[in-house]
Amino acid sequence: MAQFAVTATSLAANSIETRSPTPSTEADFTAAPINRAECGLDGNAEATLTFRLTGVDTTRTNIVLYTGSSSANCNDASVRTDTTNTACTQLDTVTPVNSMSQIDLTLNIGEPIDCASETESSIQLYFLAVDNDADEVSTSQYGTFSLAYDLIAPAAPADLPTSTLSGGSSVSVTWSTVEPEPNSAAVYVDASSCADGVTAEIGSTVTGISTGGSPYTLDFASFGISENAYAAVAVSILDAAGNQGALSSAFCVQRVPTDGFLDEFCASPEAANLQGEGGICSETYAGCSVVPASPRKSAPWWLASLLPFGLVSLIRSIRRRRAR
Amino acid sequence: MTRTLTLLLAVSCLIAPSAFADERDWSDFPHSHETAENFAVEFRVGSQQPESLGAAFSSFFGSDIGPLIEAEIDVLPFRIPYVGLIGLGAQFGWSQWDGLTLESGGTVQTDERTDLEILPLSGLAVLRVDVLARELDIPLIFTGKIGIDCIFWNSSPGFGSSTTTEGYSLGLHMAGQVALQLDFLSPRDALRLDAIWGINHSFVFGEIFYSMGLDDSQLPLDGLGFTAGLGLTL
Repeated sequence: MAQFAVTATSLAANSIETRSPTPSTEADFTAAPINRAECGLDGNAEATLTFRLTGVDTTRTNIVLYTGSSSANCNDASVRTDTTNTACTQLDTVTPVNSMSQIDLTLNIGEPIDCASETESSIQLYFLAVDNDADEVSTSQYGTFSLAYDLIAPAAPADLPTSTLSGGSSVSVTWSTVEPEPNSAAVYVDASSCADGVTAEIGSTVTGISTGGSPYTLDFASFGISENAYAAVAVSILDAAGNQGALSSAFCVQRVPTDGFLDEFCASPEAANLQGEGGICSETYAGCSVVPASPRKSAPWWLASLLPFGLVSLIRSIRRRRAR
Repeated sequence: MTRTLTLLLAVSCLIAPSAFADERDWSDFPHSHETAENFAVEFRVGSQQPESLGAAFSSFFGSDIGPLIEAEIDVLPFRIPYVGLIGLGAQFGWSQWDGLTLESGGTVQTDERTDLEILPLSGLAVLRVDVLARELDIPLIFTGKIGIDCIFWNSSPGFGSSTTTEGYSLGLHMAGQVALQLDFLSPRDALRLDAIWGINHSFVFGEIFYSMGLDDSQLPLDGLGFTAGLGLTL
């Protein structure tokens, strides 16, 4: 049983925390494993991970870090000293205790995780409080931390539109992905593309990027797409670890003036009484919210009050009957 | 119509007596008795088609039936001897029709959705005629309802440049319901439900209703609707 507690206190690249909030427990890393960027892949700066060890026996001299699987029992000195057993690997990390019961220990992500060759798994870190060069440690003088990592980028999404989508204020974009939940997507919009209505490319200058899941509502105004203009759209998937996958094939969207149901109804003979000042089919319609803001247009709440009255009466009646 | 009704009653009389042989036999529950029946709850699904919205409704939502999902709770404190229960009810529901917008001034559909969503709230006077079930062991209940609808609605895109337009419409609500009481399927279980939970009866029903708009300056959501569902009396 571990004597001292181990939590993570910082995960930073170039001294900037890579996540907010900073993950601190094994569960945090299980939910969102170390990703490719934090491992220093794809041109990113490698992150450093700082652990805080709390409750260390101050009579010990050093903290030594081992890595192994969760079943390796690297806290057992006999396992570590068995030359035929390669389950445990000592990292070149030795931190003096200096009579401190709380110790911070920082390591590069690439020390416990072989970022060049690993894919997706977890590794157990063993923090051993030793008192001599022979690395002897009692079963109560160690702490562990399971660190999950996912270095596999998601595949590009499929089943995106193959023809131009058109709409007045927004269109709904859907796609499919084999990436397990939870996942999200980065939606790229390039308003300088698709000028011919056909050729869709995401250029080096992207108008906007948004995140969301499928179905995604692409609002034309928020991406600066004006009326009768085209834009190119492409999607890449983000997995739970934050790894971003390849960009999908781009497709075109076009903003066009449209008529919805209410536009057509208001232009019909049936709406003759609704076109006057303040009517539904006039520009001066004040509108009405389901949560009323204006007394003049407020809803008859006595109707809605019948329902809770009935429910309360019903519940009280049932309780009286069961009490008999 | 008269012949059909007579035939229906005759068939019910043939099957009902044997099925109801144990209905009032409380010997399995010696310390219990039939509880008061003062409430009814109903859950139903169906469809309502507004008939005064003209060609716009059919062109955008033509084949969309909704559906309409509703719940109702009735408080029925009074019993009219040899007729049934009378009281008040509150009903709330939801329905939505959706389709695709058209390019302005044209008939070409775009990929943008347009919808009309309604949340009807109703306050009703309810008369539940259960004399056939109580006195003649014919498991048919007839219910009449009349009251006021307040139908909250919203539509997107809204009128003109609005993203959403919303409002409410008042109407007169009239409904007729035919229900089949389910006690005959398992009379002993029906007694147990009453003895333990106070559930007097369960029933399935079909209901037809009409909402008639009361104000020409409101969105005309008049129309005929039909629902079916499951209910309990307690």
